[in-house]
Amino acid sequence: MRTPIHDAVAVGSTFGFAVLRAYGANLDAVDELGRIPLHILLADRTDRSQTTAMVEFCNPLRQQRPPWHSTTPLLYALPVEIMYNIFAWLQPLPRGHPCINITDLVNASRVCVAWYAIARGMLDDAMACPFPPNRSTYANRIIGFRALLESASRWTELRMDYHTAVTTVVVFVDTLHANPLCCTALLQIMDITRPKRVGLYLDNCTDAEIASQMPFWTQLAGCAGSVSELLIRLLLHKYADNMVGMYIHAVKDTLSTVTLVGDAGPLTCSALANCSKVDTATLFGCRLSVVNSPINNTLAALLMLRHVHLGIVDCDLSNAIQCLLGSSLEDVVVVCNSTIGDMAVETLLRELDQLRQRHPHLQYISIKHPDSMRRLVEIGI
Amino acid sequence: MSDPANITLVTMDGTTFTVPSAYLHRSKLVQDWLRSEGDKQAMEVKHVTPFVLQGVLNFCEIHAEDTSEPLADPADPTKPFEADPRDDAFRGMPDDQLLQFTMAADILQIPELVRLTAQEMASRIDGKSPDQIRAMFNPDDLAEEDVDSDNEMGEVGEEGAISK
Repeated sequence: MRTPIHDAVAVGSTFGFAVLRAYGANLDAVDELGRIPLHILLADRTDRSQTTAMVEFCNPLRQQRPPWHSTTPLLYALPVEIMYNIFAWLQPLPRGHPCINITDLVNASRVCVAWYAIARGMLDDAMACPFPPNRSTYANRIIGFRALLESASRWTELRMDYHTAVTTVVVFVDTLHANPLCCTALLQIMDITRPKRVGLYLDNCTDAEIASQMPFWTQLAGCAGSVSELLIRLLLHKYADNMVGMYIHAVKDTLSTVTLVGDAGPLTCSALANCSKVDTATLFGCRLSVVNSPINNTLAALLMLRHVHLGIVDCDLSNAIQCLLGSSLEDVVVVCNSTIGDMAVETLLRELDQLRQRHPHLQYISIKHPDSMRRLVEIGI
Repeated sequence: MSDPANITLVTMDGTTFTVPSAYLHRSKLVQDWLRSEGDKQAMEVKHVTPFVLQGVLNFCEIHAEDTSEPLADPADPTKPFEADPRDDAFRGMPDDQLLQFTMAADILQIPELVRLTAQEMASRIDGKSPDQIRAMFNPDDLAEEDVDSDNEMGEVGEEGAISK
């Protein structure tokens, strides 16, 4: 059975390893693959200093009680494996499930250093994206998580790393409307965590709702940090276009991957066209068939594009494909609508063939059918 | 010598319990001890009080006739776990006793009892703040540097709501 000390070793947590070891974690425990922690330590770690620190801690001569262990209350009496068993029941869903409720585990992790070391490994996946795409509990989670981060930042003795563990934050703009407490909490979370991936969900918003959130968007852009991946779901609203354009402008120097779902307005496209480092673009539901549409102009401006994913399309993509001008293009995937006609597919093929001739680095072209994701055409070059 | 059909267990204060060995067929510690060579007069169960050992043996007696497969991983929440009414006595006991039974289950390596007590412990932790959890576990002994003081800040409560 995989134990917390396996987790500590796998993620390279010298601190977690030391705590678990000091509290009697079994170094001979084997995981489901028959590996003891030392196997993982020697196989997975490339950081020699961490490996050395852990191996030295295995040495009984060097083993000592951690300095924070000044008493032996009943709290510490339970072996690590038992605590792991107990915490496992705090997870209502299997490990890694996107809807996992982390609240109870997080609270348990704040009880003492030993519990933190055990629970932290179990929280690893969930902490990366603590707000799964579930609107019903979103506002409460945001507010609760802000409280956790504030608490963790003060609890320096335990070196709680929750502020650095978060890599993805999803923003449901409609749930923020008329909820200033949630807006404030979200801005604080963004400011503390500085996530690499951000999802902006504006698809359930009205124009008036978005217009009323101008101060929020200004502050959101102000704490954008170094976002490299951006997912935007939007409807074509004037104010949505304004706000999203402003946010993209704030992250233009670091943005490398963008996913657009919905029809992007001119300001959004214009801001995107200035993101010179974007190398991966995924576009769903954009007006790709219109000559000189803003999104096609954006495609033409993104000269560093290497990976392009276009879907769901039911029309002529000639204009969009002709806009793929960058010389770095490596793969193009097109997902067609089920109603796309044979003529359109033939045209698409012809355009992609010309694209292949223009781009020496293009290695892969695929056209897929959305219902079964059956490949209609696949060209490996 | 003990009768092979019976096992004698000695608690930390010297109290002895002689029970049919069939009761303890799910205890890995006892089974390993039976398979080992050497004196088999009595098995010492250190760190377990007579009261707790009596409770553990009651659990073993209740489940002696169970035909279910031995539990490989008591921490696997994906395995179906239905509350057995015969175990209600364990669910109703005070926190400190439950803690001792959890430790005894671990010492005797009885996965079914480990799962029962761990699940009950988790249900008591469920929804509680760090301070409330500490209060369950002998809070007087905690040193200041061991704990997170929440006096001035909000708690992560049920569904993330802040409570002061």
